[in-house]
Amino acid sequence: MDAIKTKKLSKTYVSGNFWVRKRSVALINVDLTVKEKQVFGLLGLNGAGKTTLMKILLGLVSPSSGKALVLGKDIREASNRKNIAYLPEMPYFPRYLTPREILTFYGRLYELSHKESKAKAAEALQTVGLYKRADSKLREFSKGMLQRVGIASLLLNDAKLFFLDEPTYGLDPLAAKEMRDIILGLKKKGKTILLNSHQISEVHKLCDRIGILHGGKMILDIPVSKVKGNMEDFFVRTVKKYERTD
Amino acid sequence: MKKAYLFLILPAFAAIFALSFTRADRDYASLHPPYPFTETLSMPYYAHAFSFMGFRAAVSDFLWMDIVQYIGDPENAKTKYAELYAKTENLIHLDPNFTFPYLSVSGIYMFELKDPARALGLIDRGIEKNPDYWVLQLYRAAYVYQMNFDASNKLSDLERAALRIEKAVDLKGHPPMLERTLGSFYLKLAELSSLGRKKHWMGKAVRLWAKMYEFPSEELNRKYAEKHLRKYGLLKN
Amino acid sequence: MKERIEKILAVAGNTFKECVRHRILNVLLIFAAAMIGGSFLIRELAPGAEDRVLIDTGLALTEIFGFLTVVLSLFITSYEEFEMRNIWITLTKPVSRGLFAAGKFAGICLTVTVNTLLMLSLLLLLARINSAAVNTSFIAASIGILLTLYVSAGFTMLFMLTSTNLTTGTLFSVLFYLIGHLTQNLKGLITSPKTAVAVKFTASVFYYVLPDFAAFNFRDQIYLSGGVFHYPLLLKASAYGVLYALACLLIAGFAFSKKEL
Repeated sequence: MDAIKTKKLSKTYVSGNFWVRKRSVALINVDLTVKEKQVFGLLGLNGAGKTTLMKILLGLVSPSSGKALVLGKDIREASNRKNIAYLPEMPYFPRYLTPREILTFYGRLYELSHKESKAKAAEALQTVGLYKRADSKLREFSKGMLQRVGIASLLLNDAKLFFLDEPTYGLDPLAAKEMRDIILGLKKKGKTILLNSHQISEVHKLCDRIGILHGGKMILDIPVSKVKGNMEDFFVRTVKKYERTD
Repeated sequence: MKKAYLFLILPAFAAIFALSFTRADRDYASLHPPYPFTETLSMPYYAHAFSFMGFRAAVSDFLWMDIVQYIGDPENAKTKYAELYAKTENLIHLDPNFTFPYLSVSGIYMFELKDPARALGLIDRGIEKNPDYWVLQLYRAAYVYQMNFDASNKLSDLERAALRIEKAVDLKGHPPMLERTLGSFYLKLAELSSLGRKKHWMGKAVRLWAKMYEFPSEELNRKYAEKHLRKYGLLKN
Repeated sequence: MKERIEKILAVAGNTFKECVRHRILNVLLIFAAAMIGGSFLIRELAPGAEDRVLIDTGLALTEIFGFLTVVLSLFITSYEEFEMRNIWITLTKPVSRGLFAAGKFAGICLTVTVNTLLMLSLLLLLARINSAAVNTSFIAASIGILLTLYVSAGFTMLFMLTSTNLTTGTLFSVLFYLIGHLTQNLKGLITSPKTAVAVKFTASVFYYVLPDFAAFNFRDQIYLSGGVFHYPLLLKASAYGVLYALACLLIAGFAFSKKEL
């Protein structure tokens, strides 16, 4: 079974008021296949449509046309989200709760009992090095610490599929390395990961396959092993080549 | 999809039915009298606004504070409290069950401004809207007792006052003192009446004292009843 | 079914904790307590009606601050959810948007219930200190205030979840609260022989569709001589309040399920 499969996925945002409607096209006929146990890196310039694609795959936004299946099912059904985990870019949590409380809450949404959720939360916080701050208010946390809480939320339900949007954003070099080790650890356990990152070198190290989105279209989808030379140069060349021929 | 729409529409219709039942309740109309807009035109606009918003009782309290401030200002005494009646009318139209203004403003008209007609008018309106509030009956009786009418008027008004006090004494929670007051009224009426009516009023007095003696609401009433029964030789040791 | 209820309770608990710990809401509660305490001072200005002033002003302030609590709680939580996007992580868990909306509504209702009971307790304490008479109609008035606030929470949630920005939603909510107190006055327009048929029809629709807070207003009659506690009316009004709030919640949940995040 493919972990992620999209067919001619398109999305157009409609904004404006009753009199003047503005349409902005975010995705155009995107075909994407991510096999199980694969780490897929999604690359693209700002505004290429990476976040939109991820939001459609997570059920936060509906496509204008086309299909998207996650673990073989329609992700808009709540019950089909039991085996996925998501880390957004710059995660933000309710300011007056503690990491223990928010992770316990997420655990309960995964249908764990209160006791199990608390235990999993403690374990996850231990893994990300925040156990000592488990009962501090989240409003006191730095960006990097919030990112770690977000990483801890990935570890609650033993998910099969992970969506990571800029996972090392805001982390210091040591924490970024720890994050990469976590991703590699998940990869070793046979998890599937869709990774959205501007850190091209990171993508090169972690991913099995990459896809480049440009102007809402998937212009390239190849295994990382087929990338010749420096990844940044390859990315820039590919985008410029596409722009010339488009 | 159709099931979802039904799921949405049913509670909405159920709410409308529940509202209809609520509005049709027999107590609803008495709890929500029509807004007395024309009767309270001279009220400030913010009083209207808050009253419309459902804070009638609180607005009435503030109108009462305004009246108290108005009465307390010596400058207004020079004009004989020209605006007092209008302010009081606004208040009693807005909250007819606010009883204290009827008592105190009628007292001012009765004893300070020497306008017994307005005083009685206010008290009568208070009694109309609050028939179970015995204090209003007592105040009316007291005003009638004080009023300096000619003898024939005095008698019929005294009779009416006695009837009002009788009604007040029948109400649960009336003060024991009211029974002694009623006894005094009966004696006064007996004193002023012709022979036939004299017996009628004395009979009422004796029956009242007997009840007060056998079922006293307080010890003072029993002693009062005992004193009068002995005085007329109706109680032997 | 059990899992659904567990999820609703989890969201409700989360919302409640966030609201009761929020600085702005704590300041609002302290301010409300100060104002209610202040009514203890102004009673000196109303000789003969000291008890009334305390109770009436206290109840009026409880409702007003209760409504402010509803609006602020929903604004603050919705701001964090939609503008700061913390809802993205929550909705990618196996919880439907409808259940999330239900849980949030329950959390807000719990917050406003706790706040209202605190304010009413303070009022009763002040009444006891001053030996002010409080009859059983006080209970009816308190239930009426809570029903008003639950219905307010229902339509505020509806506006916050469906409007394009939170300020618009807040504005609509405040307008609806004001309109809800004026609905009963439409009756005069409907029954008047001078009203045109089209206006009568429109007014009739509004008369039933708009919330009618007069149905929950037992405050104004708390001093009916003899004290009156209308059980049947209270039950009917409660049914209306619960059904109206439920209808708002269901529409809000449905609209939210279609919303692009």
